[in-house]
Amino acid sequence: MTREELVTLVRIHQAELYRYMRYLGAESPAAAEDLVQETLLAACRSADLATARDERGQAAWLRGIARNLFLEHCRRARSDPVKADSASVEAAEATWVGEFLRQDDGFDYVEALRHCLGKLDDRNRRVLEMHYGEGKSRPELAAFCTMTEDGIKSLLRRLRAILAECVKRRLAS
Amino acid sequence: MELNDDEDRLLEVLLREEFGGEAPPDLTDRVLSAAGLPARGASAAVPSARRWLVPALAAGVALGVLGGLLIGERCWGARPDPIPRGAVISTGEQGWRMRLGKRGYCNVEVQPQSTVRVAGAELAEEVVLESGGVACEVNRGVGSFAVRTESGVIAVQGTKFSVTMMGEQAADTGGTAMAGRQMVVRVVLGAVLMTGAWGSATLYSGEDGGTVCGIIASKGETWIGVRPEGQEGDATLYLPQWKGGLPAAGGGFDKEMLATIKGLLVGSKVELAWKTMEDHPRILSVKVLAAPEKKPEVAAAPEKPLGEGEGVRKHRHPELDRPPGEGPKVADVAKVAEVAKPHGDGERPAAEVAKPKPHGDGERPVAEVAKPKPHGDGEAGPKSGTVVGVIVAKGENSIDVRENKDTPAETYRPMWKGGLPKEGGGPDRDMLKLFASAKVNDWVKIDWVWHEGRRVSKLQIAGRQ
Repeated sequence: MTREELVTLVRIHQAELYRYMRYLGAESPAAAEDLVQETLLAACRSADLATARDERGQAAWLRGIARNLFLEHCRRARSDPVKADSASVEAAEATWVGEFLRQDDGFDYVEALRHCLGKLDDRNRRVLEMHYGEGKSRPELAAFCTMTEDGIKSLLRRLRAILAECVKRRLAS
Repeated sequence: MELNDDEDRLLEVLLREEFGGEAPPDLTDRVLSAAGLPARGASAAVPSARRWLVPALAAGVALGVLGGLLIGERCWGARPDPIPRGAVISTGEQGWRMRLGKRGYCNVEVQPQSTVRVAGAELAEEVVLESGGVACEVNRGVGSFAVRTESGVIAVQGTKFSVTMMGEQAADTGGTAMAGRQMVVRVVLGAVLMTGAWGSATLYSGEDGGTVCGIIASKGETWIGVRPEGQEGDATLYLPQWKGGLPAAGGGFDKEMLATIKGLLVGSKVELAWKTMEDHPRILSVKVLAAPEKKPEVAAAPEKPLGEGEGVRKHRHPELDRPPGEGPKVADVAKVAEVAKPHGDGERPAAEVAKPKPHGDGERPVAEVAKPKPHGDGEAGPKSGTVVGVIVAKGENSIDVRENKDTPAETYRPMWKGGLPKEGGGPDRDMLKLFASAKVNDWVKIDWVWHEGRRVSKLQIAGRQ
C-alpha cells in the first residue's frame, strides 16, 4: 500500500473506528486510539485490502479486524478485564449497523442527536453536561437535582432513551 | 422506550463526544509513522517565520480592513489551539496549512496568492474563499465543513476536494459582480454538495463542477461555448444534461435546457453552473446577466455532421450524437476527449475545447438570421423577416437600420392600427414609444412584415454600439 493509499484509508475510516472502539468498550480514549492504529496497520499489511469492495464493504471489513483486536486486547488486560466475548461483540456489531449506520456513515445519526439535544429542556441538558462534560459524580448530580443516586441513574438512562427515540424519528423522517 | 445495552452504550459514547470534547482524533500522522512512512508534516517544508511574513503582513492589512484577526506562524500540528473565527489569511508566494474544528477535523491548505476567512461554528466549520484556491480534507463523521465563495457553497461531511476561484473579483456592477469569475470544484474523495443561487448539485469522487461567468462565444442547437469575460482565446463547450437513457428508449438532451439554449444570444453575458458528466461539462443552470454588448446573434448555427464544419463546428462534441454509455462514433472524438480530461491543478475546467476559429471575416455573426432580399418595386420578395442591425438614422415615425456595413440601410415603420386616420387610425403608438426610446447606434432585432414598406411587428433593443 502506498503512502497516499494509507492516508486515504485512515481519513475515511478513522472516525468511525474510534467511535466503534469506544462503543465496544475500550476503556479510555488512549486505548481506543491504540486499537484504531493497530486496526489500520493490520489492514495496511493485509493483502485482502486490495480486494475490499466499496467504502462500505471496506468499513465492515475493518470493523471485523477491530473486533478481533478488541477481543485480544480484553484477553491481555487481565488486571482490569473488560467484559467482552465473541457473541457480545457480534451483537454489538448488529446494533452498530442497524442503528448507527442506518444511514450512510453514521454522521446523520450524530447530526440527528445534536438536533435532539437542542430540544431537551434546560435542566435535563444541564444534567447531561454535568455528567458527560464535567464528570460530576452521581452524588453531586443527586444534590443538584435533589434526587437520590438511583434516581439520577434512572434519569440518565431515561434521557438516553428519549434521545434515541428522537434520533430514530428524525432519521425516519 | 427501552434501550438495549448496546444502544445505551452507543448513546453514552456520542454524549461523551458531544459534551466531553471526546471527538474522534486525527491519527493520520501517527499511523503513518507506525507504518514507517513519512508523516504529512515531514513531507512538506515547515514554514519559517520569514516564509510566513508575507501572508502575515497581508493578513495584517486585511485585519485593518475587515476587522479580522492576524494569525501568526502555523503549520501542520504545530499548535493545537484553534484558529479564531474571523481570521483572514492571505498568502503570498507560499501556501498555508491549517487545521480547523474540534481536534482538527478539517485540514485546509490555502494555495499561494489566495485569501480566505475562517468562519462557521463549532462542528460546522467554514472558510470563505475570496480569491485563489483551497484544498481541503475533512475527517469523515466528525462535523460538517463548507467552503463559501461568491459563486456558492461547497458543503461536505467527510471528503477531500479543492475549490479554485479564477479571474478578478469585480466591484459591484449591479448584478454582474461575478463577471469573469470562475469557480472550479474538484472532488478527490467522497462527495460534496455544491449550492448557489442557481440551485444545487452533488459532486462525487473524481467529478468536477463549478460556475463560470462569461460571454457566450458561440452556440449550436445543443451546446454553447462560454469564454470567461475579459479572457482571450479558448471558450469552453457546455452541453445540456442527457436524460432518459438511450435514444431508442426516449433518451436525449434535457429538453428544457435545449429550449433555454435556443433563446440565448451569442455575445450575452451569462452565469453558468456546470458539472462533469460522461466526461463532459454539462449545464446545470444558465442565467443571462446582460444582453450582448456587440452585435447580437440570434439564431443557432445550422447543425452539420461532425468533421464538415468550420469555426464553431470545431466545438461540436461527439456526445451530441450519442447517449451516455455508448462509445464514440467518430474519429474526431479523440481531439475533444483529449481536452476533456481532468485538469491538473484545478486551474482550468475539466473540458477546455479547442480554440474557436473566427467566424468568417470576423464581422459576421456566427449564426445569421434569414435575410430577406430588398423589396424592389414590383419585385417578388419576402413578406416578412427578421433582421438584426444597427440604427443609423431616425425619422419622425421611422427608423433606418443597417444589417452590416456592406448593405444599405432599410427604413422600418410601425404597423398601422385602427383604420383610416379620420377613424382614429394611425401608427402603432406602442411601437412609436419604442422607436422614441431607441437611439442611433443601438443594436436592434426587428421582426417585420411587408405592408407598403417594412412594418415592425416586434422590436428588441439589444444594446449600444
